[in-house]
Amino acid sequence: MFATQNIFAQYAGFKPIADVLAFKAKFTQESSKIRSLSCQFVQEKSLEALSEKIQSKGKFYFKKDNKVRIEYLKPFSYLLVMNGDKMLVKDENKTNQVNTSSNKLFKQINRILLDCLQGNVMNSVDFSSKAFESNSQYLIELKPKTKTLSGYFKSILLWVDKKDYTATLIQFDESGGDKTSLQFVEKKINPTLADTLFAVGTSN
Amino acid sequence: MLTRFLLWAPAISFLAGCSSAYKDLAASAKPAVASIYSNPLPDTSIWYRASVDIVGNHLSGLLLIKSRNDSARIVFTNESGFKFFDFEFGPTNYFKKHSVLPQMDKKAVIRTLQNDFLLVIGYPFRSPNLQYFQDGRFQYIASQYDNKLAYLVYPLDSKTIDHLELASKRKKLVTLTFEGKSLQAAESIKIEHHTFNMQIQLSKLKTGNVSQ
Repeated sequence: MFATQNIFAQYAGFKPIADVLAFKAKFTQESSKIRSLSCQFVQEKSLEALSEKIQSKGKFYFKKDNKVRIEYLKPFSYLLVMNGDKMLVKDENKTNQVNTSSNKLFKQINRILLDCLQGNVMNSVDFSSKAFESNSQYLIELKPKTKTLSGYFKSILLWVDKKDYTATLIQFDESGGDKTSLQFVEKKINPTLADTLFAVGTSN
Repeated sequence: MLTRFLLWAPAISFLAGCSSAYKDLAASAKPAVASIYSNPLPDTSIWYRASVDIVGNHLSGLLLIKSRNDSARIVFTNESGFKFFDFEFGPTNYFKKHSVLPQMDKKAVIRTLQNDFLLVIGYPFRSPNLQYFQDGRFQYIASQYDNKLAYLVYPLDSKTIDHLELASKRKKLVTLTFEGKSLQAAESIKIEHHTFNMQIQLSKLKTGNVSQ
């Protein structure tokens, strides 16, 4: 009784999904239909102890398999491209290629984002997961099981649209209380996206 | 690699030569110049676009300088929100490391960042024991901290600051230049180290509602 009340208090409007196994299978199956995605994003970083927030926005592209392009446009410009184990970052001053396979933490964060987008996140060995639902959305709560990840994140929350099984919001809750959220809007499902968008050469 | 270099930096600076960069300074009267610091600190929150180049490594991100009740918090995250460090500074040498990325959590790295940002915040120049010098081109207001000397450097014929320096007894270690009337609310800041390859560049961001 008390446990149920706590869950409702934690995620207002959501109730636990009764048949989690069926949901997992459906989530994986529906996500597999999403071969590409383009949308706008709004990121918000909240520093809780300092009561400070900073918002940024830009364009987000995803293409199977394992390709992501995040293009920050306001209030700064910054480009992040992930393509398999390769990553390209470009700020106003410099372009850097990073091989994520040599950096365990980068690789894990890269994996989380892709698993969220490809519907595999509930199968991840790095997290224990719980699933909830409202009338229009699913909410997946992920708690890190590994020491490296739990040093940074208390939990990761993923809101998924019931209509098309795409992510609407991902929220990273840090161990120290700060949060970073990524909201996805104006989504286009399965647009044609050129591979050049995901090129990790330094000429982007 | 980075830590090893920072540990060696003081030795390198000593070996770099025994002739002093400050040998021509002569004591002078207190110069009549415009202050670049408010005392106490103004209550402000400023986000900067930050770029740090350090011994071949490039870090970029967002840096917040938030001042309240005469203390300052400096938080550096990458563009995606991943935190590199969160430091708190207060008057009378108060310093607290709220968080720091484990790879950066080395005494020499923290001390270097602490000294650099103390120049920005300005506590060392509240000392009652400031010294005043001049040479053929500039007038200097000097304050001693952490076995180093911090200088506010003004042209002889101007009340407006030219730059700041942090120095050992003989050698210039850091040059700080900025745009704006006050360093505590600068439009841009550039911190350049001379004894090893490190540069910090900050430019003020127009934050707020990004939906327009």
